[in-house]
Amino acid sequence: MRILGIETSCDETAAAVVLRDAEGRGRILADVVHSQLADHAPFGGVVPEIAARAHVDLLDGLIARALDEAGIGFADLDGVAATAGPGLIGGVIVGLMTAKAIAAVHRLPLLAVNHLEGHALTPRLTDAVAYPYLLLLISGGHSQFVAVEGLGRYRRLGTTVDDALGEAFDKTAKLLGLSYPGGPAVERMAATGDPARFDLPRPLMRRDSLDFSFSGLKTALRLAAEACQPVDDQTVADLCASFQAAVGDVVRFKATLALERFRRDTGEAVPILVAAGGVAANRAVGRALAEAAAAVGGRLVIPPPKLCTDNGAMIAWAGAERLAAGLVDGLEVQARARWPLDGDAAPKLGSGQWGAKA
Amino acid sequence: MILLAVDTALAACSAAVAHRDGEGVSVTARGEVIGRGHAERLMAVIAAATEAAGVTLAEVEAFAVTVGPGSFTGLRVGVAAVRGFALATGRPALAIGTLEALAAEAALARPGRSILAVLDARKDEVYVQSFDAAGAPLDAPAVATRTAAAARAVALDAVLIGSGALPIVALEPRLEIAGPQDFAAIETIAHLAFARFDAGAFVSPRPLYLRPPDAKPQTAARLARLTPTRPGEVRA
Repeated sequence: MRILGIETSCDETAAAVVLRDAEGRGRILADVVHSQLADHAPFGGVVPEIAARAHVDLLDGLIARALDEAGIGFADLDGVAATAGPGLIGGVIVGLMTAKAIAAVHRLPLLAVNHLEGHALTPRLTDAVAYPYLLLLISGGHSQFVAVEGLGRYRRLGTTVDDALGEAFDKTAKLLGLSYPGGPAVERMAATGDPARFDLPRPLMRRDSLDFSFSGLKTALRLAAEACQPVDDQTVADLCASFQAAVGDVVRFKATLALERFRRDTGEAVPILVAAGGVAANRAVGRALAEAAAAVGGRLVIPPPKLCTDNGAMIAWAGAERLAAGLVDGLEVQARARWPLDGDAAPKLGSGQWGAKA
Repeated sequence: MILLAVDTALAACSAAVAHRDGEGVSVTARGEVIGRGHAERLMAVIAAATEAAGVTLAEVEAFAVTVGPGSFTGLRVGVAAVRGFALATGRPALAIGTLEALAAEAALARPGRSILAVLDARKDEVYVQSFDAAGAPLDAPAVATRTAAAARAVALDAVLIGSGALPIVALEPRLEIAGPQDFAAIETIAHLAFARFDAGAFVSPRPLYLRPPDAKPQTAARLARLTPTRPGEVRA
């Protein structure tokens, strides 16, 4: 089956066509992404209204390009998948309405995909990974461990109680006057920094929790930086390196713990850890994850960077898996700002937090 | 010639199939006044209209949508749907203004009068556009204070129409209101769409927001810096 996938939940406008064969193997026929990075950079972060405006201007052109690159027309499709949440609601609505319109005209099944499910199922598309596996999703919006036990069977083992990891990178970069997005900028600066110069906290590094907390780390970094004002370039590099070292320690510790728990729960001799999300492209984080996998005799799978960050192929693929299982949505389906992967998960709230993020 | 018109710009969630042949135009309309939730209801409203008219979306030859001004989210619901229809069918799309549609109704109610169409834009402001006694626009849609809109209406000796009319009459009691409606009927929008189709005014519809996104550029790093920046850094 051939599925069109649409992704508009943050600052990437994306469309893709994915083929799923009878054996359940996937192949990407087209995958086009327009990053709105430049539109948001002056603001040091994604501005929801700017993102929504860009999606509505760009999306139809990207869909046409994806079909063109795949060499097919609407009549060749077996379904239309779109992110229905969680994400910035204005953008999600644009993608979902476009998908509804296409589905209505061509009488195609609509697949309203959970964006997190797209990330969660990507290793099955890229590496044909079999269930069950452990997913660590680390992006600007999410930081969570999920046991992926089957299609629609996701168990959240831990999540952030405040900032997402990518958000912590972005806020660090913003504080230090580095470019947006913060992950690559902080990583670049850290390369020439001394990771031992600043003793930053490793929050929630306890064996009884797979939750993350990054807001205290962010505050500690700010206080350390302010104490050194005015800061020179070496101090900025040292701050970045110390920040990344703290993040690496937390991620290594939590990933090791999560893999141990996952193995205990599933009995998998070689537990598989899959990393997804933009932060998975950070090399220090990647190293920490590789060390965690090695420590417990597990296997680390990180999809190619283009499929770690937001894209349409993962939405098309999740849609294909859902359609193959007979899970189709009606044209009244609602866009959702908040949509936990394990549907009944209670919101996680840290101290001083205003509302749940995932 | 079969046309589908969609309106989700304001409180209504409406669709109309308009059919034109040698004998004239017939319009089959369906809609609800819902305020919000257009994204969930729109496809059902469209299905009700097409089924009642006995046509399929594949038979529609042009798609029209109200592009604003209106609710930002509502505008994007209708525009995304209509651009999706146009893409999926290869048929053209047409953009209709919410203020020009209101003015068309005022022109019917009060022929021979100039018109000021006004929609409440909150923050003591209105979306406003003026039209001459023949119904032709005198300016482009804009944001204005209520006071400025009232002065414009007095200068034109215009009748008012739209959700912004009452507060303006409160400022200038001599002014008259052409009708009670806060938004134009989908039938009016469909008739305007035929005129636009005949003029060949095919577009990729874009929402007419009239206001910039509410965001302020990052001004400067919060830390005092000693030395110049390295490549890859941004300094405001």
